Amino acid sequence: MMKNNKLNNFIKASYKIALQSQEKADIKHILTAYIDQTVRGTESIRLQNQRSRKISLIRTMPILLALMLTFTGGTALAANGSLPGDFLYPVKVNFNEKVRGALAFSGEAEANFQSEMAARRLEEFQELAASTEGEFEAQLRESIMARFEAHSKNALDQIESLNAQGKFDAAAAASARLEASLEAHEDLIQRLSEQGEDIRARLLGMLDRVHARTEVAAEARANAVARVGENLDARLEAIVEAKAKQAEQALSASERLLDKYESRLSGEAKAEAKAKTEAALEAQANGMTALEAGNYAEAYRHFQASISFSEQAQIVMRVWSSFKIGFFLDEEGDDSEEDSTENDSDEDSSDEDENEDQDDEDRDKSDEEDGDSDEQLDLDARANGDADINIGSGGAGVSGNAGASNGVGIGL
Amino acid sequence: MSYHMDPKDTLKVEFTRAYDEYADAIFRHCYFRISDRERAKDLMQETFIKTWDYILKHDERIDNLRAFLYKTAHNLVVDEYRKAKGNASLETMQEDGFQPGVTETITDSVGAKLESEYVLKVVEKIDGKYREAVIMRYMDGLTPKEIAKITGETQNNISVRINRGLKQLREILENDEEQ
Repeated sequence: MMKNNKLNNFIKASYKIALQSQEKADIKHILTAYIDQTVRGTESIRLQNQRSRKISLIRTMPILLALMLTFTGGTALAANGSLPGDFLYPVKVNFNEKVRGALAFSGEAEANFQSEMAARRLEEFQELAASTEGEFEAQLRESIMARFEAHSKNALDQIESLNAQGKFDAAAAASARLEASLEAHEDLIQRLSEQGEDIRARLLGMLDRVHARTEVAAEARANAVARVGENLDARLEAIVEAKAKQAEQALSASERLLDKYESRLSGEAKAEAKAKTEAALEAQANGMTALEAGNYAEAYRHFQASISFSEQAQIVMRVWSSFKIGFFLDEEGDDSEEDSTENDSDEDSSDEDENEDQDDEDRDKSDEEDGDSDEQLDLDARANGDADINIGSGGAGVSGNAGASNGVGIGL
Repeated sequence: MSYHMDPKDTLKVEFTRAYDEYADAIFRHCYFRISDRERAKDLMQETFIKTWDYILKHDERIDNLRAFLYKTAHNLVVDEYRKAKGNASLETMQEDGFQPGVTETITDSVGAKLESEYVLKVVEKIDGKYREAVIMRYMDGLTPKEIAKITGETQNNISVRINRGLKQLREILENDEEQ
């Protein structure tokens, strides 16, 4: 009897080996994304499966395709919200972002993509610097900054090549975008370092490196905008009108965001986002005046400036409201955070909440499983029966088939 | 579940539920067999993806999904052995001293971690040729018939291995106490 107890206890202990709930949830995200994609595109996946018998490389295509479409489709997947050091971070920088990069085919799209990647690295850096949990090691800091510098250099190279091809409008748009993003981040970094001595220490040296890039981007922008003005041609009116439309869109996007995030931002951040949005509005109005007067080059500059202000406003709001730390709520709105978080179902910040819910679910689940295995061990002399288990026949889990049989059971 | 649901959606819901239910068990199986936590996670994920591919390709339910998942996991583990060491069998690998360490954190609690390490250490002491059967029978709770199907061995063979493996396991546990 002692023998059996020991064996039972041993097997019971083996059931405790399980995934952590976060691990389980992360893999579930990947699996669900894969399933969704295959359900939507069953036919093509099937074709690929047939071909794959011959070429083993193609076997991975459905997975790649699914991941690619999912990650690039704006569906916020776990990996996209990960930070350096997280489990899914390598997926984010080595896979998601590379796939996206491969899809950005025009020069301007590529430049914008690289700018966005540069901005993402800065956001990660700031978030890690501001986080109070864990160490933010020098090596990790350097690796993020190196990525930032590589991405921003790629963006600048693309802008340069657009200029060389005479695509000044595209070069102007891309460089203005990079500049606006870098400026907004410089500003954020400065404010962030005022939050505490340890945060300042972590951000030390970073600002200079960002500023160096901002200056190059500003120069590229000024250069490209001037070249657009010089190249007055028949297309200019159309270009300026398109610019006016872009400025209008960027402005309304900022206003929408402002509405949405207003309650979550600190007085300071809110004031800044508002000021940027107002500046965008003013530049937009000036642009319209110039356009009506037929001053296309001037109108173009105003519209471009308006777009930059709108983009900066958006960055301020996005970054400040996505940080998990509380400092941005220093002045007002302390009570409103929870409410507004619930409303933000389509924004980055809410993914965290979703993951947490998932965790809770998984935790409950694993508690249930523990229960199962206890029961199973007590029932180890139960007749076995080959009860087949169908998909989703809930409850017929681990314990269903676990009884002793054929005279080899534990109970003997 | 609604009767009006698209059959594929139903399948998807059921499969996701199966993941909730069996992910830990499949992970555990892989972990016992390859003693590498990170790799075991990969294999578990791959098991579900391959199984889903199968369901979609054959457009059918699998009668015993749980056994099917174990079979897929088993095949992946066997591939893993091959990849790890040419065509050497697991037994040869162990004779050559293939005993992967257990250094990763298994759970947050130190006590649980020690317990898991202990379990793995004990399981690794069972002879390679019996270990697989013992893991499937007792850790995974599969029937000898299912194990036979999964491994492609006869049921009789499996029963013998389970018996001998169990005997070894008892001895290991006894001796362990004496120490």
